[in-house]
Amino acid sequence: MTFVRSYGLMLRWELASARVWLPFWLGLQLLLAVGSCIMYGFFIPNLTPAAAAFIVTGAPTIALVPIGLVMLPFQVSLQRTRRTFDFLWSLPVARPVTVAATLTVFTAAAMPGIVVTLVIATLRYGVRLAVSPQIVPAVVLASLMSASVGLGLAYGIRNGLVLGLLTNLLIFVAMMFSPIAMPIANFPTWLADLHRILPLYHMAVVIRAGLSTGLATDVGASYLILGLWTIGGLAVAGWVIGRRG
Amino acid sequence: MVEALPRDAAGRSGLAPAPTDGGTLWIEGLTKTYGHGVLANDALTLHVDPGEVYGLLGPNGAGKSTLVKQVIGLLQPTAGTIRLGAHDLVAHPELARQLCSYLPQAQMPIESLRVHEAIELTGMIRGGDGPAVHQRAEGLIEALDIGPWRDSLGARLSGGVRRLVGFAMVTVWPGRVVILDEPTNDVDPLRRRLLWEQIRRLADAGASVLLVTHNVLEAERAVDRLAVIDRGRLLAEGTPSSMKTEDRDHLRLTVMLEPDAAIPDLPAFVLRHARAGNRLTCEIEEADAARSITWARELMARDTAEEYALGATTLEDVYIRLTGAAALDEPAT
Amino acid sequence: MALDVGAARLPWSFSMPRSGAGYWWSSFRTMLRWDVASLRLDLPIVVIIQLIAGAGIVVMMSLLVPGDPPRAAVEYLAAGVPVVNLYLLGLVFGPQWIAEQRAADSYDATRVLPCPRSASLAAWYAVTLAAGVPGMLGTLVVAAWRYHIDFTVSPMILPAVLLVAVSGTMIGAAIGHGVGEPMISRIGVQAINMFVVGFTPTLFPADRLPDWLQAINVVLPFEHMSALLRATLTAGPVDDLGLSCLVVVAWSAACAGLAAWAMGRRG
Repeated sequence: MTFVRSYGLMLRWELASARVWLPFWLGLQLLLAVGSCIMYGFFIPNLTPAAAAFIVTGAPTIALVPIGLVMLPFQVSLQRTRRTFDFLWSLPVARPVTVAATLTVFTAAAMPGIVVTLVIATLRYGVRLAVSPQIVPAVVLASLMSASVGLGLAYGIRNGLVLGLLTNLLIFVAMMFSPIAMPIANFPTWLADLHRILPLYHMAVVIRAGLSTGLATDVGASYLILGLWTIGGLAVAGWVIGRRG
Repeated sequence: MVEALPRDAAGRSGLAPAPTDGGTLWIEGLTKTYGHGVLANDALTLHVDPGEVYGLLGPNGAGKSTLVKQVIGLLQPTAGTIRLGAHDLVAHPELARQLCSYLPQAQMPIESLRVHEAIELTGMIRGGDGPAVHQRAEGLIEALDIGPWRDSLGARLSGGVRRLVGFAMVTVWPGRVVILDEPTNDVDPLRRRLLWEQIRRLADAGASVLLVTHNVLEAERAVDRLAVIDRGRLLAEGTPSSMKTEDRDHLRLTVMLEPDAAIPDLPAFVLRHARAGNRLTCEIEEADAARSITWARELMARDTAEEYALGATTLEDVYIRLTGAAALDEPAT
Repeated sequence: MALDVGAARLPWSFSMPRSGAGYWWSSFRTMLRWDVASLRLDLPIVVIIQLIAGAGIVVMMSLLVPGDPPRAAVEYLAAGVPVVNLYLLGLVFGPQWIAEQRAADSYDATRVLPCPRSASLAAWYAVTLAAGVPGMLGTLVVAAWRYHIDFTVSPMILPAVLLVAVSGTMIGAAIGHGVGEPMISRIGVQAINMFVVGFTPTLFPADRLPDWLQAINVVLPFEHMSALLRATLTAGPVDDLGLSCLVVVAWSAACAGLAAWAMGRRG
């Protein structure tokens, strides 16, 4: 079977599995992204327009986290428990194809949530966005990176409960302790340095660059780091798969 | 093809005394319809006496697991009664849990527990006291030959060993009724015999054992009475011998066909036949034994068959006759 | 009539079902051992994540409020984080654990054991309490050290902790046992967690919330859970503890009842 044909078939399989859950995932995205946006307003009593713009342009990043970094690992761990996993891997399909199909679905699934989040957030805080074409590669890369890292985590961590707790923690950290909605200048140096290595901050930077002018700096470096994380996630997934085979 | 049991006005099959005995499990007119309209159990009536191993035999999806789940209180019957002695198990599912032990078809949740720990804790939950449970658990571990895994965590066990541990958990301090849903799944042939031995001992000690299986030949060797269930209905009930009485003067001719050979034209003396893979099973009258051997030899001469065997009818033949399906299990030799 | 099976004698004469306090207590003890053993591989990790989440929030306070956070805000937050520590295992982890069992088809196996449902829930509560208290203590220690907060601990801290923990655990149990589909219970738990952290006066005072949210929170247990802890940890004024007790107890009882009913549900 050619790559394209088997990819198409696996894509249909993944879509069929995910179809039922898409509305729930969208709901979760909105809950977390819009929710955290509004939540910041409660934590910080007097919000300046600049801070508000920062929050709103950070919201799409938060909308990405639940899909690639939480729902994907969760689905994998469910598959593992239900033994669907073994079945999928026993199919005569090249492993990269299965992975590609999974990534496609989870990258695309995050998109509607991002759009709706932006709409609601801008309405809530009355911020005007300066959308530029670079938003497209920014969102695609950020989403792909989340899905890749999520896949790497899901394959690398075999214990379903540890994986679940880790991803829970991830959402928490993303919402409250990362320079997504708050300027990195606020952070103590050690934490700021940690975030320059982790991908969350860079996701926020590239998306912010596509939605505004002048709020994001050093965008090129962020793209690079995101690319490295994507490769890293895929490498871990690939290594685990390779070990199994 | 379906054998209807004669019933009285109350729907009972009239084969056993009314439920006054303290230990008999009495199931009458049990009906279960699922929400989406599927009739899983259709007015099933049977009873299991203390000291008896009662088998529920039937194809997948026949409704066997549905039946036992209603006994243990996991499902609510749509109609019918389940009694153990004077206790109404449908009205009091908590009593069902106390008086009955249940081994489900799926594996037990013992990932982080050690084997001996899982068995002993279950025994204590069932009301046993520490020392007695410990002694009984050690005895079972020895008897089932799972000593090497005594201290292993559940997550590390193979499917078969895990199944044996599940069995031990359920029978270390058994209820008056012991319900086993396909206990020998995944278990290797050697340990399977040890399992059957323990089941027999349970019955000898006075328990009523209700056993669900789709393995016809094992059932034949191990049960005292059995019922064949298909599509929710009880097709036949009785001891293995009594169920074969209709076939008493019949023999079974098994012909191993050459690979890819079509079923040859069957002579008139073949009463019934079924094919599974290359194996053609024919039922014949005893009087036609010689003619059948001649026919089989002809097939071999023509290179249609590889070999043949002639023997007494087995429960599998009864099963095939009742359910009209070729039994899919290979006989354990 | 006792007959020999193997080396032990089976008490077939015990044909009467068990009931009463002895039965409850022995079931409780055994289920407690069962739960602890079942969590053996995961509990250490859970406790560690507890400590990190609790102490982490406390230390990262300065990120949420730019500049030097005012004293009152710091104290408010420090007394609210322990609520998260106490409900983390029961509300976030519990439903997830049950969801795993459902997915592995082993959920029914423990449901058919002869154990009063109240004893089973009580044993689980004991486990979540034991896992939550160290996290809470860690949070308080870190807060006291980092921000030089003097907690004025009153003896009522004990019932407050017990009450806060039981409500979190029972809400989690109701969700875990009540919701059949793992994905839904996972999302539901995420939503509740988010709601508690961002939309209840747990980590910041109620006056920051719009009126309608404040009204909702009076009926929900979360505001009251943090009020109970705050009252017993700090000297500041706390409104209407009687109402808080009532709401938390009512929610605990209702959720416990719901969980017990769901556990015994027949299809």
